[in-house]
Amino acid sequence: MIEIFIWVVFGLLGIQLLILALLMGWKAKNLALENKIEKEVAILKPQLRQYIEGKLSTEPALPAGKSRFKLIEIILDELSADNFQEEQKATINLLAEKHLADHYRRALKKGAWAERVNALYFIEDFGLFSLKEDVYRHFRTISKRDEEFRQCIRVCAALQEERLMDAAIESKDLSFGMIKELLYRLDEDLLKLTLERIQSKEDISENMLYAFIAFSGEHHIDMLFPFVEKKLRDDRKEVRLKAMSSLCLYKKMTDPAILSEFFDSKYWQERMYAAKLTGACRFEQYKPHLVYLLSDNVWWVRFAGAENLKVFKGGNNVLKQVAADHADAYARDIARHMLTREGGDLT
Amino acid sequence: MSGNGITLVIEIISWAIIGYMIAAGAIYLVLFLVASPKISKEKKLNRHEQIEEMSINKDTYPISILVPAYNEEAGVVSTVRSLLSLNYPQYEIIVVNDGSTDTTSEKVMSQFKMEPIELAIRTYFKTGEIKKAYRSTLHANLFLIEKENGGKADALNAGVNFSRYPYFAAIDGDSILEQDALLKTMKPIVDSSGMVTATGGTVRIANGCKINRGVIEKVALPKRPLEVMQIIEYFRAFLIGRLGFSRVNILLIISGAFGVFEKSRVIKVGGYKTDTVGEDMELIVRLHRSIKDEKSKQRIEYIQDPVCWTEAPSTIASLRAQRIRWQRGLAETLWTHRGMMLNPKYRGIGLFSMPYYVLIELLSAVFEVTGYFIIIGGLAFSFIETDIALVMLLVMVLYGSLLSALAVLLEEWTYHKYPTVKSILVLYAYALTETFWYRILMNFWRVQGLFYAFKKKSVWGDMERKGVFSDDEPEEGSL
Repeated sequence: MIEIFIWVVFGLLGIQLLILALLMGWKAKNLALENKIEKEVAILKPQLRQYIEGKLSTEPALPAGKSRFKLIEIILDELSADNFQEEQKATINLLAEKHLADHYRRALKKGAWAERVNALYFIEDFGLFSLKEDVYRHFRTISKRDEEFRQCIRVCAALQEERLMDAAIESKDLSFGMIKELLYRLDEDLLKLTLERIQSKEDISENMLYAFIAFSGEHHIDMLFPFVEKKLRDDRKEVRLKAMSSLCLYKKMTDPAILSEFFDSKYWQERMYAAKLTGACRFEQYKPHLVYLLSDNVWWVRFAGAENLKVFKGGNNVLKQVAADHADAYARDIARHMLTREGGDLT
Repeated sequence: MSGNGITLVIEIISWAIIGYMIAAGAIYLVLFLVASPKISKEKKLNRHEQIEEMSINKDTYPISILVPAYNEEAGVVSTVRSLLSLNYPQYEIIVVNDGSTDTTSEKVMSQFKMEPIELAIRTYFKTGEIKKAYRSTLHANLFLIEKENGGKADALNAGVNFSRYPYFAAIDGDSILEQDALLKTMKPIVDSSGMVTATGGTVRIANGCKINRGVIEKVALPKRPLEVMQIIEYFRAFLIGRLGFSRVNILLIISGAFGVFEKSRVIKVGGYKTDTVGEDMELIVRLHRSIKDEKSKQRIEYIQDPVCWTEAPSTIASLRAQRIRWQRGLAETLWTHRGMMLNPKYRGIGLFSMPYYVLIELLSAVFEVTGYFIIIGGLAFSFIETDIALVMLLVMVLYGSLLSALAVLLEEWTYHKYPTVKSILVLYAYALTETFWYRILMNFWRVQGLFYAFKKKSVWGDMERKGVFSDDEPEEGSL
């Protein structure tokens, strides 16, 4: 009996020691490779920078060997973060097309999951339009909704893949955040085309509608302003709230009278956004309404009321007066609080 | 009972313990096998590129970081500094000084030039009286709350009351975060559009590392064996255990050192429980309970990336106090939620996690300590066959040392945070010694903790801070 246990323990120990030896060898090799790449980056990066800036007429000679791809990827990735002009960015893109695109194409076809996702990150970072068809084809093959799927549709959008946006409009399960990420990546032409399709389609998903409304405000798209403003009259509370939030970013309303009814809404979120819109659009006529909201039974509404009073000229004086004289203790508290604590932008 | 009868009983107990430890080891291996496909799949993923999008995305949820602090004068400034340098679009830091008797508050106030502010706090939970609040004149997103002492849970509840963002992170005053920690930890929440309600990441031991102004500059091993062993212990807990549990959504612990929570869900379940010393685990169990009761599809996730570095106890006394506290906390939580045990309504949590925590995490120390007496008795006094005592010793080596050694190998295979070849060798060699000294100490303390669980009192513990994060701290704003 005891022999079996001795064999098991020493057998497992032996296996572990073998793995340990392999890991140590692997670590030593990797550390050496990392050091080598670090040194090569230090030499080659300034040369490539000069080439990109046009100070060198010929491309610097790149070292041969296994580290070549990694080396160029690291350098171009670091240089991409610099504030270059469009012409210089185009040179980075050309270098990436020349030295990296084929590798990424192979990774998409035959690479392991992490290699494919990494390839997708860099295809987007370097704007490798030559891989547009490969990426879309890859998108068609992904069945699992994981990081690979999310990154793949981001890349498709960044490469202005029209077919992706058709699929996105039809999709009912893309999240609000994801749709906004896609909209952000579209150029003007594809954005216009997509928006036209969204407006003409009757049964778009709620997430698509919310993303569309939010995106319009964040980008101040004038042609969509009437559409967003009209949504203040929508039957659905969530749509109205999204529209109010978006209008806070537009910082304007054509008919401020619409706002008055929201100060007495049964939904506290609407009362809060009414306060925010008042501040964002600087509607002086609603300043008394903000004071009225300082006695609201919901903290967030009181906070928004005080926060937005503060943006008006003389707002601090109103708050001081409230802090001193208001009959309601909650109003006095929130006014005092706002006088010493600046609020962040929660729109 | 005759001498033979006693021997028979001891033999039966011995075989039961051997069987128990083999089963427990097998469960660890199964957890490892559950976790390893994900670890293997994501091993080469470019972690920086993965979060690049989030750092500029306007839809990355803003977050309040709560730092409960009780007598944390040694590390609180470094903790706050590390938080101020986080890469995250929008966040606020709220240090909650829970009636410290040292200079915790003075350090924060002088380093960050705090000035008093008026309070108008929502009271989701009743907490100890809040005496004053301050805001930094250097960093508009840094706040300090002074409250009367009420324990860590009470301090966290006060922080939640004061916070204004929809998610909050709880971080210990003796921990520091990596620069991208919040982005990495929030990623599952953002990617799932809020379906993930709480997340935690891997916590590592900072002792031995070179830290400058709240940033880990060089990862290295500490000199003291006690600290090295805790590093290995953390590998084992985080790399083998938690990821396996998280994969099947039955994770019961998010480390108190660092976790991110959806505020509305925490408010809904009533916040942190103030009459237990295991408030972190207790909250997670309550969150699971509420999710299952509501038949919600929300889940709790653990991310495998090392994102938080914490100061480990470096003396026998402080380590003992910590482990007794942990064991008490575990016992109290399991007792509070005993209704979930083996209850099919709570699915994996009730049918696997809870029994696992009772049998493996809570009671293993009792089994092992009994085993020690049997081994010593068997080898020294021959009241059982020497073979049985030796088999038990071998199984203990298997369960203790070899599993921990496996965790060291796993860390090297995945994150290899320790940058020298020698460090793996040192860690591996220490892991092999675990059964013969470190585990014995832990098991005795854990058994003590079980006894102490009957005496209820909310305390912070009495860990002596060496202040591994302390550095020369010139006042901010000065040259």
